[in-house]
Amino acid sequence: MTLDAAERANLIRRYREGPDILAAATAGATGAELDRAPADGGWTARQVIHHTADSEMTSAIRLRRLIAEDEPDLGAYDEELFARRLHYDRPIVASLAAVRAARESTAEILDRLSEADWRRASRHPEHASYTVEDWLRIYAVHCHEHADQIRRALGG
Amino acid sequence: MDATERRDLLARYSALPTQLEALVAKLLAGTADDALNAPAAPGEWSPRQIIHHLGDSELMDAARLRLIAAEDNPDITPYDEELFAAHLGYERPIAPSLAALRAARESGADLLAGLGADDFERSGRHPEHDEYTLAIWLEKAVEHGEAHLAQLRAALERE
Repeated sequence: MTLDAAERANLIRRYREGPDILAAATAGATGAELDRAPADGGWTARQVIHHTADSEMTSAIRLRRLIAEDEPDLGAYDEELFARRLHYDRPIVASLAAVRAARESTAEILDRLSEADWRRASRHPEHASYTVEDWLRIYAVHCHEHADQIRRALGG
Repeated sequence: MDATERRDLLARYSALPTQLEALVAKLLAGTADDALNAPAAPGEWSPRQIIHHLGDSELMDAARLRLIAAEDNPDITPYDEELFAAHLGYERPIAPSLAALRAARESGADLLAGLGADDFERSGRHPEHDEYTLAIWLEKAVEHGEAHLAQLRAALERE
C-alpha cells in the first residue's frame, strides 16, 4: 500500500515534530522523576530517552542505506541489551540533542526524495518487506509513542 | 591502549565539533563566492560534501559504538561513502549535518566516559579489518575527523 503525497507530507510533519514532542514530555522533570520505576515494570523515563536517541541515530542510518544502497541489509540490534549495557543512567541532554539532530538532518533528505526513492526496499531481518515508506510509517510516530511512555513513567 | 592514550583520544574526539564549526565559519567569512561548493582540492569533494560526509559517518560511528559496547562480537556492516555522496542530496544546507556530528560526538562522549578499560577491548566483526575493538574504533573515529579537518583547513588556506 503506497502513500499519496498528502499522507506522506503529514507523516513527514509528524517526523519533524517528534523531537519537540519528546522534549515537552520531559520538560521540568527532576532527576528523581526521570528515574522513577513505572508500575508496569518497564523502562524509566530516562531509559526511554536514551533508547529513543540510540534508535533514532540507527534509523537515520537505515534511511541513508535504503536510499544510497541497493537492497541493503539494515542489520538489527537488541534494545534490551542496549538499555542494560549502555549506561542509560547518564544525563539526558545529549540524547535529546541526538534525537533532534538525527531527525533534522534526515528530514532534509526526505524532503528531496523522488517518487522512485519512496519505493526503494531493503532486506531486513525483522520485516518481510521494508520500503522507504514503511520506514517513514514506523518512525513518524516513534517519538510520539515514546513521549506517551515517558508521561506514563513520570506518573503524569 | 593505556589510560593516558585513551584520555588523549577522548579529548580529541570531543574537540572536533568546535574545531570544525570554527573552520566552517572562516570558510563562510572568506572572500570566495563559492567556498563551500568548489572542490577542496582538484578531484576532491567540496567542503559542503565533506561536511555531509562527516555528519553521516558520525551517525554511523555512533551506531557502531553502541553495537560494539552492548553486543557480543556484533557484525559491523561497511557502507560506501561514494554512494552516500552521490545519492543523499549532498548539495543540501550544512547546518543539520554539523549538528548531527556534534550530537553524535557529545552523546558518544557521555557513553565512552562511563566505559571501563575492559570495554575498550570489546570487538565487532568488520569484514575489512582483522581486528576491530572499541579502542580501534575510537582511534579511527578521531583520525577520520581530523583528516577531514586538515582537508578543509588546506582548502581555506588556498582560498
